[in-house]
Order: sequence, then structure tokens, then C-alpha cells
Amino acid sequence: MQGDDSAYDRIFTTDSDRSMLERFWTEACNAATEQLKKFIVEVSDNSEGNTIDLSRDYVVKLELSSSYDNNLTESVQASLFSFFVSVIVAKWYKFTNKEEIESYGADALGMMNDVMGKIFYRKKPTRVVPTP
Amino acid sequence: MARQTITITLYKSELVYDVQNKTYLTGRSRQKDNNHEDVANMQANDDEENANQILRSLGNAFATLKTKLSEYLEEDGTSANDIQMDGTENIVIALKVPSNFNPATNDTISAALHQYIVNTAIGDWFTITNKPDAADYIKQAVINLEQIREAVNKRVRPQRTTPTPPEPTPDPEPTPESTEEAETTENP
Repeated sequence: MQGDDSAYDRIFTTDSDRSMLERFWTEACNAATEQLKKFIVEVSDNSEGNTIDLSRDYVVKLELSSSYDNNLTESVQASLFSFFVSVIVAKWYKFTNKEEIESYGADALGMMNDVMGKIFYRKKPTRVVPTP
Repeated sequence: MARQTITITLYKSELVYDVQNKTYLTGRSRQKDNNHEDVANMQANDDEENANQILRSLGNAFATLKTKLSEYLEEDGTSANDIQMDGTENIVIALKVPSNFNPATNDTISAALHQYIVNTAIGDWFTITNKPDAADYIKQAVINLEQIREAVNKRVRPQRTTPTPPEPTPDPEPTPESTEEAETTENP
């Protein structure tokens, strides 16, 4: 952003941008729900409200395969977090920093791909030796 | 000579594991880019819908096998149903074979029966989840059927039992009556 004196003011978010960020947050929630819908048992209501409520987390309960590896859950959560950040930043940059939209958009896609890769990962089957 | 019965037990857990393992390895080797869902779909596991499909296929394969081997099976009963086979009960096949059946092929038969059922089940599974590989397994099952037929029809070479000629009986001692009789016959 060198040589762009207005970059900081333009890109930095302030409290007055919160309602717009809230909208992006909702859109990111919807995008995540769309991707995960196949597995969703329960999902929090993240529809856009009239007021900004920071306590409304995105909580989703997934029913995964019996051969899903539980060790991946933390990582799935971290990737989902990055997905949300990238989606919101990409959307924010639509208005403030168009040159970097693509990079954040690609990041968001990559993160969701990462989430799906872990969710669909199957542990190898285990053989139970029969007793004749 | 009396026919003999050979009993072959196919453990359901071994059949299911073989199906799961083969489909797991297939999925793993087909992994590329972002085809996570396709790969996951190929890999049969214990999820209810997966297990039901696999058990149904195992049951169908076993039923076909019984038709193919009907001349060696003796089962009675006048009713049947289409209830999916149980996931725990093993498959037991009792084959009535001729007395000169070659028992050296017992292992071949059990291995080929196992392979036939597994390949048929994977063929069914891949027809749903991985079409390009399905035909290979179905072809392989046909080959397994040939192996079963060949093994079941092996016979032991007949063994010649050398007969022991009866001991020659010694001539009886001539009695006075028999001597007279002989003289009378010679000189009427």
C-alpha cells in the first residue's frame, strides 16, 4: 500500500462499519452452512439482526462418518475460523481494496477445501481377527 | 461309495473387512485435488447405509453362489425370504462331494468362495460409488466362479488295491471210498 496515503483510512474498519461487517459475517455463516449442509444436525441462527450482537457465535453440530478421525476436529475448527476471516476480509475489500480480493477469495476457498478434506477423511478399517 | 461333506465357514467379519479395506485402498489411490467427497464415497465403512448395502450385496452374492453350487448342496425347507443377512452370523456352506473328491482343494475352494463374494460385493458397491472400477471386480468374480468349479471337480486318482490271491488249498488225503469210486468210474 506504499504511496497510497488514503489506504489506512479506507481499509481499516471502524465501529461505523460494524453493521456492514455483520452482514459479511452472516454471509460467511450462510456460505459455511451451505458447504456443510450434508452433515448438519443443528446450526445456530445467524440471520442478520437489527442490532449487532457479538455473542451470536456460529455453532454447528455435524453428524460425521463413523470412520471420521476425531483428532482432526481442532484443525477443522481452525480452518473454519480462517475461512470466516478470509470471506469477511474479501467482502470488505470489495469496497476498500479491490486488488487483494482475489487473494483472500482464494484463501477462503482453500480453507473450506481444507475443512471438507478433513471432514471427508476416512480412517483405515480395522480387522478383527475371528476366533474359529 | 458314500459321498462326503466338506464344511466351509466364511467369517462375515473377514468378508466385510476385505470389502472395506479394498475400497479404502482404492479411494486412497484415487485421491487427487479436491475430490474428497468422491474418495469418501468409494470407501465403504460401518456407517449404517454403507453397512446395509454391503450386507445386502454379500447376501446376494451368497445366494448366487448357492445356485451355482446347487448340485453339491443339500438343503431342505419350503420357504425363503428377502430379509437382509445378519452382520454377525457367519456363512457356512456344506458341500456334498463324491468320495473321490480331492481334499487338497479345500483351501482353494474357501479362498475362491471368499473372493467371489467380496468381488461381487465390491462390484455392486462401485457400481454406485465408482463406476469405472466396477466392471473389473465383476469380471474377477466370474473368474472366481471358474476357480470354484475347477476346485470342486478335482478328484483323487483311483488307487489300485493289489488283490491277494487266495492261499492254494492242499489236495485232500484220498479216502478208501474215493479210491474205489475212482476205480469204478475208470473201469465200468
